[in-house]
Amino acid sequence: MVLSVLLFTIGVIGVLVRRNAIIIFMCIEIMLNAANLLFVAFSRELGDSSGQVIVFFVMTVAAAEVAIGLAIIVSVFKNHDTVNVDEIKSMKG
Amino acid sequence: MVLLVIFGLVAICSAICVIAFKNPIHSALALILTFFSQAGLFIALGAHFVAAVQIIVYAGAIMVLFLFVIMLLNLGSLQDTVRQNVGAIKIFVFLLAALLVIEGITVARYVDQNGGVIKDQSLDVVIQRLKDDFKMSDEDIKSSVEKLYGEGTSISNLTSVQVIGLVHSEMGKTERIGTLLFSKFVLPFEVTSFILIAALIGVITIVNRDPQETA
Repeated sequence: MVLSVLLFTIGVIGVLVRRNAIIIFMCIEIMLNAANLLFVAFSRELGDSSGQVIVFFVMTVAAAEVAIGLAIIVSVFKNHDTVNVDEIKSMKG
Repeated sequence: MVLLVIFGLVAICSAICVIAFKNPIHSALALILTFFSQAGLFIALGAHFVAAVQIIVYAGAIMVLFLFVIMLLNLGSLQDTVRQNVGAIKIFVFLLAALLVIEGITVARYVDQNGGVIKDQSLDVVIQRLKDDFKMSDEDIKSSVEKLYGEGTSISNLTSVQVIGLVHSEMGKTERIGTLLFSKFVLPFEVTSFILIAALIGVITIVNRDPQETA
């Protein structure tokens, strides 16, 4: 429990503090992993396998999300020559 | 328990490394260590299937994606700066951590009190659950019990600790997860395949666009 909360918090700090889009993505992965850990811990505690199946789904969605996110980063880099989120302002118009 | 503590410490240290390193490649390598220690944690919790999937999907596929993008964009040389307004972030993070800890304690207490825990359930309930969730026959249960606690033992003679051990050992098995995946969770399973296809098409569309058109 405590471990999962700690990992999640590290992930949040990472998202807030770093400005490199790729590192922000890694921090999102850490947060998803923390949630997965909690699912598995509770599935053991409750004696119910559903938690482990849901972890499986979370992993699939995470894989899809990373693929799309990295594709967006690549195309942003093509346009702006940077992955620093503070310098990418074109969405603001 | 010892395993849990060791892997937990490794996971936290390497997660801190991920956000502390300046070079994205070093961060990615620290992230691999985080994923592996997470897999270790899953094994320590008895979830062997999830641990295997963790290594294959995260440490394999996702990390290859990350490293490829870092290499393609040649980010290794780019130095990253840290955001300036750290004070507000500190307060926010502290509040969030406090909230999460309170929530965790509340949930843990709720679970303890409301008897979702298997040690409080009667043997019949546990057996019924094994049959419902895992589609196990009486024969299956009998052979699992004998495999775990020696020939000739029957499930009605087990102590409550042994019953919990039985459920835990069944839960981690790939066969049981597979049964659950294709019976109770068959709709989410199909939706997942749809999500993956959508992601695939989306990625191809995004990357194929001509940069001059959109710039």
